Amino acid sequence: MTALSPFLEGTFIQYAWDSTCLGLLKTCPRLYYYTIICGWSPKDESIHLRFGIEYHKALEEYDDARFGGRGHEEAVRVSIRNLLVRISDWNPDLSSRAGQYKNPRTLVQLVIDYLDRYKDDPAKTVKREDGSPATEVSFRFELDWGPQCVSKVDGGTRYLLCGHLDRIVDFNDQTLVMDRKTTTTTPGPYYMDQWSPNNQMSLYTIAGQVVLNTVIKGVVIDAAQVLLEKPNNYVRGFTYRTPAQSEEWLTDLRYWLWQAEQYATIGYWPQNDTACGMYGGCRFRGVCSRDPSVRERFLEADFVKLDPESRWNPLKVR
Amino acid sequence: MASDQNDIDLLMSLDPLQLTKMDLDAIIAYHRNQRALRESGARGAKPKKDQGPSVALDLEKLGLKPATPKINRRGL
Repeated sequence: MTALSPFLEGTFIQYAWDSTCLGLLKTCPRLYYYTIICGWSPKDESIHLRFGIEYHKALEEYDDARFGGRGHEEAVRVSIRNLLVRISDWNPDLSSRAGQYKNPRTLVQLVIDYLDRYKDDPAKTVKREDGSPATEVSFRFELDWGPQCVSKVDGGTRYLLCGHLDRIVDFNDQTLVMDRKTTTTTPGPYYMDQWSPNNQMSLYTIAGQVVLNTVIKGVVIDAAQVLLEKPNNYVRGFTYRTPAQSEEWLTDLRYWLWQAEQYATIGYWPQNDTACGMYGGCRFRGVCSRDPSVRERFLEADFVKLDPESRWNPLKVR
Repeated sequence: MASDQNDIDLLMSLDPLQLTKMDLDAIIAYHRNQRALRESGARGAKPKKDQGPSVALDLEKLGLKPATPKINRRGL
């Protein structure tokens, strides 16, 4: 199924936003431009993406089976069988660093280890109003404002916030969004500190409240570190948002989206050269550090340009 | 239980739709065993690297002779 474009027709003014697009924009407009507008993707990106998708799906299927009343062992079997079916065609390049850490074997190990570790998890999946489990909850909601270029007289297009919540849980008498992460770095205090303030977690807290129409205090982060020789490492962290913090995030969002519209209108997305070293170094650092006249050549050498259908699109249905 | 690398390689290479409950249990048990090994400090089986076919290198066939190692004695 072809997804709708997240851009206003004939422009690069984006009206449908998710945490990925917003995060890129906030980090560096040029990073947003290369990734979202142009569709440049690192060559090993597909390995990380596939690994993440399959990991999330396997845990979701386990959660659904448990929610449906199945025991741990049976739910593990359901999850692993379906996982093996889905990844039977997946042959990542094992000689690459990404492929060494993220391949079918490490994936199956990571899933089984996670499921066994949280076998008696006090976090319980919330039941939705229709009786279904609150797992892989897609959200899409409209803001009460839109791009400035759109006529306000006819009601115009408004901004949409979209995304997917891994799971909504009841935990210690609180309702929280659960977000699962995989990482190859140590999820210590420094790792957990990054979630507050944090664009994705603030959006997910707000989205959870919109979806369930109830108070959501924040997000549980379940981080899984893939290790090759030591046992995989799992760390659970929490990040909370007060109503005033959520309000502030939405106020700031207005400025960010206004800024995004200006960039798209002018057709120029400036570099934020103070962000190049963040998170172990920007993927485009080797491009941006070159003379502008040769950047395209470096992009073509180290990245693949995805066709428009394959590019990141917040409106793509899972 | 799939206790060694060959067993698990075989099981993982089967059509997943044809796996029996016992096969699945063996795969799960293998990974639990790997975890236990890692926890005890022993090295689990490392994933195989795709290194292509293994070919013995015959230098004589290529018309080459292994160089005589140069012995460098200190002071000589």
